[in-house]
Parts: sequence; C-alpha cells; structure tokens
Amino acid sequence: MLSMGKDFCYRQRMAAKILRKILSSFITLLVLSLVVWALVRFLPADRAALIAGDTVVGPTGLVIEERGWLQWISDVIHLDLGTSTFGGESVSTLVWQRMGAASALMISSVIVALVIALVVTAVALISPSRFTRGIANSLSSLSMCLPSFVIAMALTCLFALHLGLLPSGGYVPPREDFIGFARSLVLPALSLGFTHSGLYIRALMQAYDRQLSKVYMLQARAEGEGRAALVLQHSWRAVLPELVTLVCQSVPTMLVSSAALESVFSYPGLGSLTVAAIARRDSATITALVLLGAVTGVITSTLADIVQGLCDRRHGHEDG
Amino acid sequence: MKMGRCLTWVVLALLLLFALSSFLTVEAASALHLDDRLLHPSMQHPFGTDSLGRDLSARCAGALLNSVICALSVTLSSTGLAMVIAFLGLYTKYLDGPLMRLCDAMKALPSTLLAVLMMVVMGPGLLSITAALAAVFTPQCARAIRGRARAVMKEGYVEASMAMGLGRAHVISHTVLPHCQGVMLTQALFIFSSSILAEAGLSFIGAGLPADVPSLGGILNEARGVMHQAWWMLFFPSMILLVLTWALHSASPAGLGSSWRRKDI
Repeated sequence: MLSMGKDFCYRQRMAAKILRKILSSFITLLVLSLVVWALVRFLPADRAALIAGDTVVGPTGLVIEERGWLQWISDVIHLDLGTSTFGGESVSTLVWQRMGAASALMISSVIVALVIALVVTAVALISPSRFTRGIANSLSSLSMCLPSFVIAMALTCLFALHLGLLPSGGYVPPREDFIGFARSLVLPALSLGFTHSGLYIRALMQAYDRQLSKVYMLQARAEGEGRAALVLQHSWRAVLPELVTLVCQSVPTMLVSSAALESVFSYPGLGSLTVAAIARRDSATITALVLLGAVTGVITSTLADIVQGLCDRRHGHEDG
Repeated sequence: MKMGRCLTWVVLALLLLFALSSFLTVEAASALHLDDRLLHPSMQHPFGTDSLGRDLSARCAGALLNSVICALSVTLSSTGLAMVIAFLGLYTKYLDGPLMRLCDAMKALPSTLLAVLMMVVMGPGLLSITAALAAVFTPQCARAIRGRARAVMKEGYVEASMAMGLGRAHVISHTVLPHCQGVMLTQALFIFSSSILAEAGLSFIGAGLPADVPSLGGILNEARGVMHQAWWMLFFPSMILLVLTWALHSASPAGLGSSWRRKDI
C-alpha cells in the first residue's frame, strides 16, 4: 500500500516536472524567436550590397525585414518562411527537400561518433596504461583542435584520391542504389563523427572515472569482479544519462551546422544549402535554418532532460 | 609537466613571431607570379606557392596575423560585454532574470548559423565578424562570470564592505568582479582559441573575412580545388591551425576543460 502511494507520488512529480520543463522550453523558444527577428530587423545591413544588388554580384537575397514581430512569428508558425532567391522557391520546400540527406548524415555520424568514443574509452578503461590513456587523450584533443573540414579534406585525399576506394563526394538517394548511398555516406559520416567523438570521449572518461572511484565499485572489485565487468556490466547504467545528453546536444549541431564539411563533399544536406545561401546573401534561408536548429535544439534538450529523469529515479525525489 | 608548459609558451611565441613576420613579406604575399604556380616547397618558398604563384608561407603568416587580430578583438569584446551583463545582473535583481533568459535563448541558437546569419546581413569584414562571434561567445561567458560572482557575493568580506557603507556598484566592481579573475581568464583563453577555429570555418564557407584578405580558412578553401596536386596548400595552413589551438589549450589552466562546447562548423 505504502509503496503504491510512493509510486503514485513519484509519477505525479515526474509529470509535473516534465510539464514545467516543456513550459520553460516554450518560453525559451519565444525569447529566441524575438532575438532572431530583432537580429534580422535591426542589424545594420550592408547597404552597398543592397544598392549594388543584382547588377554587380548577381541576384542577392538580402531583404530588409519589415514585418513586426507578431506578424513574423505567425508567418513562421504557418511555415511561411519567405521565398528564396533559388528560382523563387519557398524556403520551407527547399529545406524539406534536403531533410532526407541531412538526417541520413546526422544519424550515421552519431553512430560513428558513439562507436569511436565507446571503443576508445572501453579500451582505455579496461586495460589502463599510459599508452591507452595517451591514445584516448590525443585522439580527443586532435578532434577538438582540428576543424571538421580539414579532417574531411585529409580523408578525401587519403581514401578518395590516393586509394580510390570511396567516392570523393556527391550523394545517391537510397531508393535508387543502396550500396552507392552507403558508399557516399562513409567519408562524410566518418569526418563528422570523428569531429564530435572527441567531446564524447572526454565526457565519457570523466563520467566513468567518477563512477569507478565510488565505493560500490571498490566493493565489486573486492568481490573479485574484473575491470571489464565493472566497466561493461556495473557502471554503464550510471553513465547512460550522460551519453544521452551528449548525443542530444550534438544532434542539432550535426543537422544544421556542418556547412564547411558538406561543401567539401558537395553533400546535398542543410549545410551546403547554407553555403549556397551565403553566396547569394539569401538571409531568408539562413533565418529558416537558424530557427530549425534552435527548435531541434530545444526539443532534444527537453527529451534529454526527460530521459535523464526516467533513468535516474532519485532526481524525482531530490527536489520534491 | 613543467617542461610541457615551457614548450607550449615557446610554440606560442614562435607562432606570434611567424605572424609578425608578415609585415616584412607583404609584397610576397600579394604579388602574382603566374609562372610560379603551385611550386613544391623549396628553399625559396618554404611552404610552396599557391595557384596564383603567391608565396604560401608569406600568405600563411598574414593569415595567422589576421586570425590573431580577429580572435583578440572577439575575446576583448565578448569578455567585456559579459562583465557588463554580469554587473547589471548583480546590481539590480530586476535585470538579472531577463538578461539570463536572453543568454539562455542565445545559447540555444545554433552558434555557427547565428554567426553566418549576422555575417550575411552585415556583409564580410573584421567588424562584422567580431560582432557575430561576440554574439556567439558572450552568453556563456556572462553565465560563467555571473555564477562565480554570485558565489563571491556570499563571502564575508563582501558583506563587510557593504556594512562599511560602500555603494553596491562600488562593491561589485571593486571587490566582487576582481575575484572572478580565474573564471574570466579561463573563459578568455577558451574564447580566443574557439574564435580562431570559428573564423577559419566562416572564412572557409565564404562568410568570414573578405576574399582579398588572407585568412587560414580562405587558403584552405583554395586548397580544396587543387588538393590532388598540391598537398602543401592543405598541409601547412591546417598544421598552423592545429598547433595553435593545441598550444592554446595546453596553456589554459583547465586544459581542454569541461567548459568546451563544439563551436566548429
């Protein structure tokens, strides 16, 4: 009876917490839309380019925003994000067309980053030595200090130009040719995954180090469990929320902010849309992408919080 | 450990010297020699030449100098702005909530795209890149300084100065903020190295410095077209980027600390 009551309380508290979280992210979204609108509306625009316009640099998409915030936000909610200069197509169609390729890249890069990070951390933790720790440290520093497009170009040089194993760019839709699709995805996913894996490795190492120094780990060790069992069996549950947060943080970045990398591989994702929009100074498209990234970010961070709450039941009791 | 520290500073000093050497080689960096296109590295051209016959080492030095100037102005403006925000938030309770909401909203925006949007609206140039990157880095810096400052506010000596009748503004600016030095220094180093990477990324996709100003990202973008025949165009600028950011990270007190957020494009 008592335990049922407790459970009920827990659920209620969880529900309240989730509701509060959703409400607060809604407010963040509102403030955020105000910021974006103000940026486009009030930043000193490059008048020279506006006046020179299509006679000097070709068609430019730079428009001075004249709608008020309420009008603008209602248009945005109705997915009316304006017209791009790419043959006058609407921005939302343009973004939608590239969603498939973009999410394929995002998903495969998350997988690559996770695999690299998990393998490296597991090796460094199960057989700890200066050598394995050193490898984990330098891999993560390397991936943090090099921009993704440098890694992308280095990989292209090696695998596409010298060895000729993989295509150096382009994209094949999976419905046409699945093998070609997979082959065109390997290099972009490897480089994007590697750039994010550094962060994963560092955070995972820290989380595991915190766990492994706890008393219950010492107890397990004293009972004769090997290091592998500690890492693989006993502490992964405690590290899982950390991992979920990391992945949720990198999803929006991978989705919209891989412009340089995609332009190296001429991959038709949202990043190369950004690059094309920069060349035409098409502010409507970039605004739409900023909003898309922000909304994805808010959704994933809300999800991460909810998952964290569900993983660790103590959270519900702590602030109650 | 001490050896490593020393080495880091030596590397940073060498890079600075290399950047300053660009004042001596302005001509080599811009003079076109169409006969000398894509020459291999040699004694005369230590880094080789680019696709218009310009000396790559001179261009890299100029680009490095531009990066450093850019990163310096971003660092100064964003830490300054963050200090002002933290001060205002501590001074009046009414501003604290809205300012922090604003910072959270800015942090939730995709950072690189925010910079790209501002660059597209304002046009390329040093001033716009400083504004764009400052908008990206200020929020988290303000949050960090505010967090430390709020902890300092609870200390006994702050209470003592308040009790002595010093004004709130005076106490905050003379007692509280100076105690946040450590956080500021860490943040400044982090912003400096991240803005070097961010500037390279923005210039690479054409939303950074104008095309006629040498920048590491711009050189790498040129390298993309010729990388199958000219490895040096790719190798030297990326090595400079790697060594510089690595040295900056090992120089910072927290190392590659947990405050790291991926700012790359």
